[in-house]
Amino acid sequence: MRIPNSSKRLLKAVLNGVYLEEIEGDLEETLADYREKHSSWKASLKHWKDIISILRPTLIKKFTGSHQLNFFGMFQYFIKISGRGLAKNRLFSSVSLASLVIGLVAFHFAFLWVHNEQTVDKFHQKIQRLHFTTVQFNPNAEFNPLSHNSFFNIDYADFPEIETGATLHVYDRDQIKLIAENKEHSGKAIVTDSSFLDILDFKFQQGFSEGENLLNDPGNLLVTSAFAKRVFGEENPIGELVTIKCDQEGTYKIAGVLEDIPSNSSIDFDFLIPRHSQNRWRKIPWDILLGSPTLDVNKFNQKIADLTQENPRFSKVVLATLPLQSIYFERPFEISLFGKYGDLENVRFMIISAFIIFLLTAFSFANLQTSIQLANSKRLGIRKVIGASKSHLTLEMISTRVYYWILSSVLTFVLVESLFPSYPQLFGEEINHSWVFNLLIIFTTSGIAVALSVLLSWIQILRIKSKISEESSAGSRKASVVQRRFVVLQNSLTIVMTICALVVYQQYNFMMNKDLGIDAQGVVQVDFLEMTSATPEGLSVADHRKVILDRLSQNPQILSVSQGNLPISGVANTSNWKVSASDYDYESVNKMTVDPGYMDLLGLEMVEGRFFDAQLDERRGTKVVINEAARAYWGIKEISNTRLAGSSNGGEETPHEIIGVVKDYHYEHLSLKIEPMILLFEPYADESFLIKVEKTSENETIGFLEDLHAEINPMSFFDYRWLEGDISTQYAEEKQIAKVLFTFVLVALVLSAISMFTFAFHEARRRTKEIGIRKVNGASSANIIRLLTGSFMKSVLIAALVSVPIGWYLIADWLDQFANRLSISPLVFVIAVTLAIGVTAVATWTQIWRISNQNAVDSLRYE
Amino acid sequence: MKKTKLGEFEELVLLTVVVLKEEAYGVEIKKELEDRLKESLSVGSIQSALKRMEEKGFLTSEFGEATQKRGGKRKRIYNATPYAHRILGEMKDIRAQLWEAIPQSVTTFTQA
Repeated sequence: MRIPNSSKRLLKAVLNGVYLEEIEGDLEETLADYREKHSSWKASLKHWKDIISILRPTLIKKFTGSHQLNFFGMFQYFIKISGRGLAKNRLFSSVSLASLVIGLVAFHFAFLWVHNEQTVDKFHQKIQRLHFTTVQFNPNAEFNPLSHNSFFNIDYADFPEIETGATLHVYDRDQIKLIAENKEHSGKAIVTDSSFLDILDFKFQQGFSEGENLLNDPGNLLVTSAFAKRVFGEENPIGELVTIKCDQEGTYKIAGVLEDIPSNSSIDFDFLIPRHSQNRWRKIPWDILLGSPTLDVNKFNQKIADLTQENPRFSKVVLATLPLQSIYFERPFEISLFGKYGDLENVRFMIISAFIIFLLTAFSFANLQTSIQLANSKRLGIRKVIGASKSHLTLEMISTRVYYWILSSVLTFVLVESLFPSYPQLFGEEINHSWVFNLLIIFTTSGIAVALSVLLSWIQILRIKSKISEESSAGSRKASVVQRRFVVLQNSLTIVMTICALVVYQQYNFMMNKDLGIDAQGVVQVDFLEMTSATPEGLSVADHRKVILDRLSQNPQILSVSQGNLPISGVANTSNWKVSASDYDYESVNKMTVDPGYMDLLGLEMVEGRFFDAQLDERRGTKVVINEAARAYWGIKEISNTRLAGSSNGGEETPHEIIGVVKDYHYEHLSLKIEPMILLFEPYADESFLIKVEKTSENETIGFLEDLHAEINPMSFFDYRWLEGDISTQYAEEKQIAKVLFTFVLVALVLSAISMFTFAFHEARRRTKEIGIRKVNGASSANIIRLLTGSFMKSVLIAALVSVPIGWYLIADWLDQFANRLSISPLVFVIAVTLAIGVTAVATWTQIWRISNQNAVDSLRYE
Repeated sequence: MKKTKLGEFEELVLLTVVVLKEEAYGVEIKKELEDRLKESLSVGSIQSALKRMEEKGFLTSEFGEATQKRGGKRKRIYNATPYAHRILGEMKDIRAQLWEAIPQSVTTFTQA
């Protein structure tokens, strides 16, 4: 009945010696009892439970007495030694830590951005199975989103491949009002079926109960918590009655509050309305389908392609679906359902930048650590002589790095958390973050950076010779080579980043300053007749329009007025046109609706013919104005004898006369070249007004417009957009990239400077004697300065040679996405290299100066 | 009670030591308590309670006999100190006073 040897050994190792005999006896006795009562394995199980129960502070050995000689003691010793090492090399330790922290903070922000982009919509658990329905109306048209169910009466409930689906109408922020407590609020609404919340994972904050779908009740309305806060403040919104107003009107009860839309959601909204609460939602319906797990998309698309073609009206219509998750990056169409789109090019760009910053950080840290270690090489040599093995030295080195790892992680974390409020300023959008996630990522990344430095230092330890004499000369020469390589590498990366940042900034400036061919200054868009249903006294839209035009013309600060589309991206519609009575097929071209005032308002120029004229032309007539690109597209030589036919404008039966050709102007993002466009004189009477105001009295005129708006729409609120503002927001993305890159370049330059300084410091120390000998042999201070400067500049120049082609390749690749791109000027490379040289000069200057002016006698006595 | 800091479990162990007199050693205390509490206890929990109370001066101990069953190891017999007796008495009084202070109806209800 003996207790097993293993437990005996364990007890001996951990248990306080005074208690050993008694407790061993007790265990022995209880085990014997267990064996009487239980089967053998159950007895030993219980026995081990007892053993484990013994491992508690009151019963185990205290770490006192001869602990210096055990493993724990050794570890404690390492911690002490490495702590001393850090304190002794205070300058380089703090510089190491600083470079690690600066780099990690920059990397972390970039990482968060990339992570947010790459997880877009992934929080919907069924995202892989969600598909968006699209329609191609004729072989020339593009596939556009449209509900198959509402439009063609196709019920996918009959298809085994489709589990369920939701139809939705989206009312954007200026298209629907929510009225609560007699106040109007604008918000984005999705009108949809109850299955919407089953297929997409928007989480509830309040009002949710298992198994109940709040969108089933047509009287319910769901709001996001941010919107609820905006409308109701701190009050509990549940149960409040609100009225919504768009093309429909209705009163709803707020039944639930959803959590805020995550920053990695492409779909966004402020509130959800049950679709079956009204009959005639007029916004274009879209469908999201949930496929079965085994759905083969290609087969399914083939199966549904010709479903409508039995109907002669739709004989050319092709139906298809598109994976919902592909829409964010591929941007096959832009619709208001999606609050934002991504750009893979930018994500790739950011990943490369972040990766470079991380490498720079790791290199810079490894470099600094190497120099600290080499400064200590003598001490290490002595320790080897008195018997320290390589593994001891390695352990010591690792424990030093663990200090750095923990310290840098904590500092980075604190810095990241405190800098977080300025994140949107740099990256242009809010982002969801949790501190746990941040902490985890920071510990991991700083761990990787530190581990890399450990690896490099370890290689160096292996090389340390045990003879001190050999070590101090041969070792430091090697060190200088290693350090030089680091410096070259780091400088190359910095130069590459600088080149990229400069070119991106130039391209941004180029686009911002490029003559668009229009005069956007002082043009403001106001929607006076947005809600005709809300206008009082039963006046017709036309009457209102007359009043507005009248009042606008009386104000001397208003230079011109027009009703038409804003010349910015995403506004133009596509429409199918062809040269009448020709062999051409209908082709999809851009179309905008304008009125005769449009040309004056935007300062457009005509190259041929005339623009629309209020006297000569009439609304919805058969006349068009085209741009130069369209003339070139169809190869029209003489506009007077060419007619255009539009497939949805009467086709061949009503050919349109081309009355003029307008000089090409940019009506889309400058990354796109100017596409053919047709201008038609057919704005609806309630279209938004474009008003050009005198620049000097902007505020006053806006006040006037606001009063006029309040007069026409007493129930609604005033909203306006400056064309200039809209144009510059088109380039917000490029501006963000430039901003981020410049921040990164700054970080890279700081890291480079730190590395250069360390390098110079050690070179100066290493070459002190050499310089002394040179001086004795008659070299002047100027000679020495030239010698040392040349040696440092050599590293930078090698770096320049390596990095210029890489930078050129990367940036040319990026610029290729722009139809209107600037050519890369050689000046960019000159500036980038000069900057690197400048930083090197500043960082090394003090060391060069000190050593070159040192008395040769002191240098020679230097040990 | 002042600063005696006698935990509930410790008090139980201490009382068991008093009850068992000369028989009060680890395994016996454990068995006795297991019988009374009708739950199984681990060696460690008993031992650590004993060591703590010894440190606080509630118990003294000395080695007793060794048996075959214990693999030739000696028992450690525990003995409550006069100080421990006094504290136990005080605690009993305080409890009794508290019970008396409770209205009759509640007492019968809880005792039922």
